[in-house]
Amino acid sequence: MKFLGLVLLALLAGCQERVVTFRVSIPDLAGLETPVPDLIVTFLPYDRDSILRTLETGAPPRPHVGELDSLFRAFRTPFQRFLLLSDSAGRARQTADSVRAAGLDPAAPETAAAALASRLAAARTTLDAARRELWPTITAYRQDVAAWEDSVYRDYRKVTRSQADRIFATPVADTTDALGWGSAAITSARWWATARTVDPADPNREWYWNVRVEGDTVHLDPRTGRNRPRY
Amino acid sequence: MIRSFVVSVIALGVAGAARLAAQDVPLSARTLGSAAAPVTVYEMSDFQCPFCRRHVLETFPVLEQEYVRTGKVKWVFVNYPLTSIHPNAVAAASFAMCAARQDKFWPAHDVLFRNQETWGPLKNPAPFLLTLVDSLKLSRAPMVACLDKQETVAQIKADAEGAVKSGAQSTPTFYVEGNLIIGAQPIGLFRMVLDSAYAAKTRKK
Repeated sequence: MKFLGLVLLALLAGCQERVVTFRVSIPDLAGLETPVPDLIVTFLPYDRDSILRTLETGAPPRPHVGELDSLFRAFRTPFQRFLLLSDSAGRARQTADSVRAAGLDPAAPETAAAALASRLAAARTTLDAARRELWPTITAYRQDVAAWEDSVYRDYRKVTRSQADRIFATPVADTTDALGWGSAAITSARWWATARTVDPADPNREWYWNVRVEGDTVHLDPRTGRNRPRY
Repeated sequence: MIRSFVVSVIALGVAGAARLAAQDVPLSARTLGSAAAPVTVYEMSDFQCPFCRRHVLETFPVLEQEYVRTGKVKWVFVNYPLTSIHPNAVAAASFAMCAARQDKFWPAHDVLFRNQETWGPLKNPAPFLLTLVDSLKLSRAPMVACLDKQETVAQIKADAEGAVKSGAQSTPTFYVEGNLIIGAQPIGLFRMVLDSAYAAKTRKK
């Protein structure tokens, strides 16, 4: 036959199943990369960041960025001191308990644990004071930022829906398991995996990913993500 | 390499067709056109696939007019639901296959594709699909029994397995006399392939 052997490939003119596996991991308080369980990862058939950047073009700058950065810095010091002492006090308590359980003299470790507990209590007081002092302003600024986002990104839904409709693709999501793994069935279009999770070392920062999906496995980790302020 | 691929596809396609013919809803119940038509097209399709819908609404009516009604081509529908991305595809395929038992496959096929945007996103499409029973003038009781007992699901699965063996990896895929057309291609491409296939078939005679 004249046309024997004609095989036409046109992936964007058809529906095709594709299963993508992903894993999310971030540094824990000790800096060790640790899986993130129960995190929703969304697969979008468009580049979210690119759309946001376009919408921001010509818009006034995001409000209070400098002030919020300064407030976040002010909060970070007492917060991280509290975290550090919390960890040390926990370990000191465990040591004292182990010594006691072993029938040894617990006086020295008990003294160390008590001292750390006392410093931890002081750190908690400082942290609570910082929260009382800084949080109302942070919250108020964040409301302004949210209002700015509502205004600047008001067409986001319309734009993304139009992009998704054009290629007959709708976002899909999955939640990571205890080991940080998940999977999603997507079509043959171009996809981006997006997710965010609060940085355990700083409640005013987050890990954020918007990663182009290439291949069958996506790694959302410090190398592919950004650690950014939570305005 | 392409030639050997095509040969194997032909073998699998014929074997798949023979196997399907022996099953509950015969291929003839979802075949349009004269049995004597020299060219056969197997359309491997998913009722929830928007590209299949585009083909059915925009391209197929012209193909039907030019090739099926003129006796050149017979058009066979093969189920290939992509369940991981189209959770309602099997429910819709079941509906069409149950309708085929009442010789209403093609009316069901058309109404399913026309209303894809309505039932496609539903969490449970069954109530909506049942509303189509009356509009298609289907006997309700056998239709409900067929759907409830999932009487055609095994056959849909067999269809899908046959489609995969025939080389389909996406929908719609068209098996035309040993060749695959992949995707909802423009009418011009179908014309080129079908004219060529028809010429080759009739020249042999």
